[in-house]
Amino acid sequence: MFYGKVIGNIVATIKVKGLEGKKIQIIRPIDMQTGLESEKFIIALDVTDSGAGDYVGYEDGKEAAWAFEPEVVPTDATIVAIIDNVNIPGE
Amino acid sequence: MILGKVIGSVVATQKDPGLVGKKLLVVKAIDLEGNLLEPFIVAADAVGVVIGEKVLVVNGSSARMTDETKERSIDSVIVAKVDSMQIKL
Repeated sequence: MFYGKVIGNIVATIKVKGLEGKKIQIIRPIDMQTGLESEKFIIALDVTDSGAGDYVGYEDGKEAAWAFEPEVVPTDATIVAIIDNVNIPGE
Repeated sequence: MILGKVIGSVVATQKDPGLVGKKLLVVKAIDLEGNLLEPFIVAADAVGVVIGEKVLVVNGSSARMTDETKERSIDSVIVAKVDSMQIKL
């Protein structure tokens, strides 16, 4: 799982059948150790109720599609958790 | 998923039987402001888009999970046409 922050969303009316009714979010990945936001962004579907400003955990690759099982959904990134806290005790 | 803009198409007459009848489009990744980025990809079209449109592209094995690309040798597919984006942060 990867860590990121939801910064917005995308609206698309013309899409493949598997994406109908799915929320499309824009995420900025965050480095868990430093807390720095990446310059890049990724587009992900959402199985949670996340909104802009939420810190989330997302899967990428084939596993992203498994979040919707048994539905067949073409996605390579899916938000699977809303993160409340990250605790990394110092060494 | 990648946010991209369709900039052209590819014509290939000799190809794998799985690609027959598939529209192949050249897509360039864009940033949230719409500026073109460096990498480009060739993706199969599952929704019916034209040159100049903003699209979402799925890569890897997930690309074969649409009805149009099931069990075909395709690793990039256009799955949606972007109408609008709301950037709140």
